[in-house]
Amino acid sequence: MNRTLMSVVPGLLCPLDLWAIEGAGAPINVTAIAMFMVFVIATLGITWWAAGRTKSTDDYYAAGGGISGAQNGLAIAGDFMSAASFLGISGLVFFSGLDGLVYTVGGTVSWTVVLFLLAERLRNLGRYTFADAVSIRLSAKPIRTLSACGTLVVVLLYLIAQMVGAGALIEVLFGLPYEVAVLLVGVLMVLYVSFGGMIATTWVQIIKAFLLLSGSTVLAALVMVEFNFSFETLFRAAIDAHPKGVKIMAPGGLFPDPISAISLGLALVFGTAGLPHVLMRFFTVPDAKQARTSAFIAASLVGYFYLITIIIGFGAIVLVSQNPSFFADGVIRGGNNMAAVHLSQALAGDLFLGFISAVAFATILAVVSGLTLAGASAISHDLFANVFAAGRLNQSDVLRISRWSSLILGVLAIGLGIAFKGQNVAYMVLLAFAVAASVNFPVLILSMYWRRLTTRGAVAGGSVGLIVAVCCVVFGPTVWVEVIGFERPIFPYKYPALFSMSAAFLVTFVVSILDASADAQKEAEAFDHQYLRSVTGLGAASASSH
Amino acid sequence: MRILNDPEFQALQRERAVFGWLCTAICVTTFFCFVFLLAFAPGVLAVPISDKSVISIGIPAAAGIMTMTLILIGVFTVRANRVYDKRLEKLLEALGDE
Repeated sequence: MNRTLMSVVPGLLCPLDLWAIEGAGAPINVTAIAMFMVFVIATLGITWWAAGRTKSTDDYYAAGGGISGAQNGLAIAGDFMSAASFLGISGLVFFSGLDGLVYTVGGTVSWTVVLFLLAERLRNLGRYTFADAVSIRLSAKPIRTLSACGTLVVVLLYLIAQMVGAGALIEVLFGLPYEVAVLLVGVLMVLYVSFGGMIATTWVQIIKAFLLLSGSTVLAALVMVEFNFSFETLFRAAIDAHPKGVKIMAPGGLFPDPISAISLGLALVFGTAGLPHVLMRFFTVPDAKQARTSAFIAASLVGYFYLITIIIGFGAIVLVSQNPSFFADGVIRGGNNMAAVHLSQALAGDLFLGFISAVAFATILAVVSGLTLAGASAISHDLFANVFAAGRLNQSDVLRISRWSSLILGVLAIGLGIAFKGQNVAYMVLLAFAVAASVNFPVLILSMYWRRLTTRGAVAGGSVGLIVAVCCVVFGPTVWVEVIGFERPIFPYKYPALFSMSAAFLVTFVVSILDASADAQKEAEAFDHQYLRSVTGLGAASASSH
Repeated sequence: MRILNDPEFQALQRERAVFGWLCTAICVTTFFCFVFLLAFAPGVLAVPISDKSVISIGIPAAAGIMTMTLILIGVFTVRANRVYDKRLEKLLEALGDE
C-alpha cells in the first residue's frame, strides 16, 4: 500500500518523509493522507477559480448573493457540523450513553429558533454581517462595535478550540506532529478565505458537508447491519460492553447539578442563533425565501446527522471498547473523541478508516475557514468600513483589509493553537456558545421583534452578557480549578448561559425602557420601516449584478 | 408604508408571527422538559420502555424530540411556502406598494 502510493504520487508525498521522522510514535496513515490530499487539491482548485470571480465586496462577503437555497443549506450544515459534533458527541455518547443525547437534541432544536424566527428577517435586513441587520435602526457605530466584539470573541475561542482539537486529532490520525498539523490547517484556511472569500468557503463547506454526511451514514448503516437492524440487540450489546453497564441507559453524572444542566441547555438552544459564521451565510442567497430554504435544509441535515450520531456512539461502545487493539495503556488511543474513527476501522478496515480520518480533517478545515471569514468580515466590514473609517474606504480598501485580517487571524490561530497544546480547551467551545447566546442573539432577536429596543439598551445588555459569560467561565470550575489549579471555584457552576443570558436580556430591557433620549424616540419610530422591510423584503439588499 | 395599516396585512403578519413563535415554543419547551427530567428526576428517563426491553425511555424520548423537531421544521416550511408567501404576494400586488 505504502509503496504503491509513493510511486504513484511521489511529488505529493515527498515532504511526508520528513514528517515521518518527526512523527510522535503514531504510524503515518497513507490512505488518509492520500484522500486528504485529494480534498486539499480540489479545494485549492476551487479557491483559485473563486478568486477569479471575487471582484467586489458583494462577492467577497456574500458570494455575490449567487448561492442557491439548497447549496447554502448544505454549507450551513457544514459550518455547524464541526469536528466537535461528529467526534465529540459520538465520543460523549460512547463515554456516557444517554447523557450525551442532550447535545444531539439541543443541537437539533436550536435550528427551530434560526428557521422560525430569524432566517428570513435576517436576510431581508442585512447585507454581509448580522451587524448590518441590527444597525438598520440602531446607531451604527456602537452597535457594530459591540457586534464585532461578540463576533471576534466567539470566532477566536472557537478557532483555538478547533486548532487544538485539529492538532491532537491529526497527530493520532495521520501521524503528523502537532505543530505541523496546526500550521497546515492555519495556512490552508488563510488561503481559502483571503483569496477565495465567501465563494471558496461555501464550496469547501458544501464538499465537506457531503463527505461528512455520506461517511457517517455509511458508518451508522454498517453498525445497524452488524446488529441485524435491531436497536434492542444494539443497546443490549452496548450495556454488556460498557463498564457502567445498564447505567448508560439512565441519566448520570455528566451534569454536576441541575443549574448546570439548564444552563448548558440554554447555550445549546440559543447559541446557534448567535454564531456569526452561521448567520453570515444567510446573506449568500438571493432572497428571504431562499434563506428559509437554506435554514430548512440545514436544520434537516443537522437533525438527521445527530440522529445517526447516536447510533455511531452506541455502536462504538460495543465494537471499540471490547477491542484491545484500540487501547494503549488501558485507555482508548487518542481519547474518547476517537471513538467514531476507531469504529470505522473496526467495521470496514483501513481504507474506510482513511476515509473517515480525511473527512474529520476536512471538517475541521471547513469550520475554521467559515470562522475566519466571519472574523475577517467583522474586522473589515463592521469595524474598519463602518466605525473607524466610516464612509472613507472604497471597495478595494475594504477587500484588502479583509485579506489582511484573515491572515492576522490565521497567524493568531496558529500561535494560540500551539500555545494551548495539550490543554483542556473544551470550555472554549462552551464559552463561545454562551457568548453567542448572551451577546449576539439577544441584540439580534430584540432588534427584530421589540420596538422599544434602543442603542443604549442593546450596548449595555450585550456588554453585560459578554462580561458575565467570560467571568462565570474564568471563575468557574473549568478554568479557575481545572486550568489554573485553585482548589475551589469562585463561581460554582460549570456553564454560564443561564446567568449571562438572563443578565443580558434584563439589562437590555431595563436600559431600553428607561432610555428617554431623542435617539431612543427616533429608533422606536424607525421600527415600522424596518419591520416592513423585514417581513416583505421591500428595500432589501439584492443579489449583485452577475 | 400604508400597507402597515392594511387589516389583511396585519392579520397575515400576526398569524405568521404566532405560528413561528408557537413552533419554536413547542420545540424549546419539549427540549427543556427533557433537560429538567435529566436534571431533577433522572429516574423517570431510566425506566425501560417494556418488560422485555433494555432500552430506557430516555433514548426514544430524545430521538422522538428530534424527529418531532424535524417534522415541525417541515410543516413550517411548507406552510410558509404555500400559504404565507402567496398571501403576501397578493397583498403587495393589490396595494401596488412596490
